[in-house]
Amino acid sequence: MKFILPVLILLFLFLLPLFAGTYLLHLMILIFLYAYLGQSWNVLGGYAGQLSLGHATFLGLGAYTSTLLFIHLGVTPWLGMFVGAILAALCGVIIGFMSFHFGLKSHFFALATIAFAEIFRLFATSFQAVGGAQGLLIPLKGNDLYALQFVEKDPFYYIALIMVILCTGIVYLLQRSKFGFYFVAIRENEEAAKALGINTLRYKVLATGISAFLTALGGSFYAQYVLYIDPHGTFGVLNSVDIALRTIIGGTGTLLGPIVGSFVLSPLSEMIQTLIGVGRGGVYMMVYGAILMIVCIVMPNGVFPYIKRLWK
Amino acid sequence: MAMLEIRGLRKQFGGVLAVRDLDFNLEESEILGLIGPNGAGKTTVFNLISGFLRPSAGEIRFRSESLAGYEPHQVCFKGITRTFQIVQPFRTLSVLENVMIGAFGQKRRYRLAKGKALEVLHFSGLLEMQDQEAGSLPIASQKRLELAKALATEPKLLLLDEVMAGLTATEIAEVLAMIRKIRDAGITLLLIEHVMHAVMSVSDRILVLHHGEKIAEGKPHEVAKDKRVLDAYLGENFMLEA
Repeated sequence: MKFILPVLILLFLFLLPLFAGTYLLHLMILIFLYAYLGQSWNVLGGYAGQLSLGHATFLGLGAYTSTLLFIHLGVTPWLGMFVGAILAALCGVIIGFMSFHFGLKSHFFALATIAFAEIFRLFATSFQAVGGAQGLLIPLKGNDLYALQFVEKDPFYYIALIMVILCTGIVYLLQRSKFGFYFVAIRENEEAAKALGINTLRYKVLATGISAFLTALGGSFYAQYVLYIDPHGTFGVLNSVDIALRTIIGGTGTLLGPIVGSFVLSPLSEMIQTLIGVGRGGVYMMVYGAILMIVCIVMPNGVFPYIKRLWK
Repeated sequence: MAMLEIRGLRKQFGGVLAVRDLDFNLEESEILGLIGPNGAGKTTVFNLISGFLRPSAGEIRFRSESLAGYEPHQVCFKGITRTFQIVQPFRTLSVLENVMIGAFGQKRRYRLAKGKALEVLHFSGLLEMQDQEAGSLPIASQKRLELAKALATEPKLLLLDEVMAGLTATEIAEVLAMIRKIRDAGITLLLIEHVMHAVMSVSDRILVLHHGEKIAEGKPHEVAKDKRVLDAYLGENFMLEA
C-alpha cells in the first residue's frame, strides 16, 4: 500500500519524456539538478546540522575539473566527474577540519564556507589558465556518449533523474547507518554526542567530505548540460544560496525535503521570471523573496514535514 | 588496585578554585555518592573525569591508566560514561533512536545497535515509549532516558549527575532499584545527588565536597554524623532514616 504512490510517481517520471515538450523537459532537468544538489547539501546541512552557504565551492570544483580534463586531456566527463568529486571531497575535508577544529558553529561556519567559495571564485576569475572571467566553453561534439553531450534533452533528463534517485538512495542508507545516527546526534546535541563516545570533529569533517563529493558530481553534470562554465555561474554565492534554499524550504534533514523543495522553488523562480520579466529592476527577485518569507512563516520546518503532518 | 584513582586533582577558573587537591579512590563494583552544597565542585569533578574539562593539576587514573589529555569520546571509549545534570536528549529523535546512538559505540551494525538499545530500554522500563519523540517525554522519563543512553555505551564506570532531582518519591524508588540493578550487572557507579535519603541508602560510601575540598569520606552513617558535614551541608537536625 505504502509503495503504490512512489512507484506511480516514478513510473510517470520515467515516461514523461515520451509526451513532454522541450521546455517542460528543461524545467524538469533543472528541478532534478537542484533536487540532487539539495540532497547532497542535506548530508551536511540537514543531517549533520552544519549550515553551509558555500556549496558552490564543490559545485565549481566538479564543473571545472571535468571540463578542464576534457578540454586539455580529452578525458571523458564520466571519469572527470569522479576526479572532480574526489578533489571536492578532499577540499571539503580541509575546509571542514579547519572550521570545526577551531569550533566554528552555525552562522560562523556559514561565513567561513562563503569565504572559501569566494576564494575559489576570485581564483578562477583571475587565473587565465582556467578560463579567467570569461569562463570555459566545452567543445561541441553533437550526440556523443563518451563526451557526455546530447543534442536532445531526453538523455539529460534520464541522467538527472537517476542521479536524484541514487543520491536519495545513498542518503536513505546513510540515515539508517551509524554515520547517519551520529550526524543527527551532533546536530541535536553536540555535548551529549561527545559524552556517548562520538568523535564529533571526525564525523563533522566526514559529513563535509561526503556532501562535497556528491555536490561535485552535480557540478560536472551542470557543466555538461549548459556546455559553458564561468566563475560566477559556478563558484558564485547565489549558487550556494540556491542549493541550501531548496532543502531549507523543503525540510532540512528529511529524506524527501530537497526533492519537494526543488519541485516547489525551481519552477516558481522560473515562472516568476517569465511572468514578470527579468528586466524590470529585479522586481521578480522581490516577489520571489516575499514568497520565500511567507513559506518560512507558515511552514517553519519546511514544506515536506508540513505536508506529512496534513497527511496524518 | 582501585578502579578509579584521583590524586591531587585541582581545577582553577580564573581566581576561583573549583576543586582543590582532591584525592579519592573508587573500587570495582562500588557505589560512591558525591554530595555537597551547590557550588561545591561536584559537577566540575565529573567534567574533569569525563574529559570535558582539563585539570589544572593532579591526576586521574582509570584501571591504572592515566586519562590525561583524553577527549570526552576517548574517555567514553575507555569505559567511563557520564550523564548530565540537565537532561540532554536528542530532541527530535525517538526514544529508541536516542539509545541506539549510545549503542553504536560498541555495535557497528544497525541491527545489533537496535538489539542492544531494545535490551537497555527493557531494562530501564522505557520499552513502551520507544517510538515517542524524546523531547516530548515527561521529565521523569527523560531522566531515565539519560541513564538508558549512557548504559547503551556498555560502560564499566557510570557517572550519574543528579538523576533523581525533581522526581516524586515513587519515581525515586524506581531509579534506586535501577541503580542497584546496574551495580549487580557489574557496573561501578559514581553518583552526584541532592536527594539525601536516596543517596545515603544506595551508596556504599559517601564523599562530601565543600568549596572544592573533601571534608569527609566514609560509610553513609559515619558521614551523616560528621560535625563538619552537618555544619557545611546537612544541617544539625539531619537524621539518617534507618
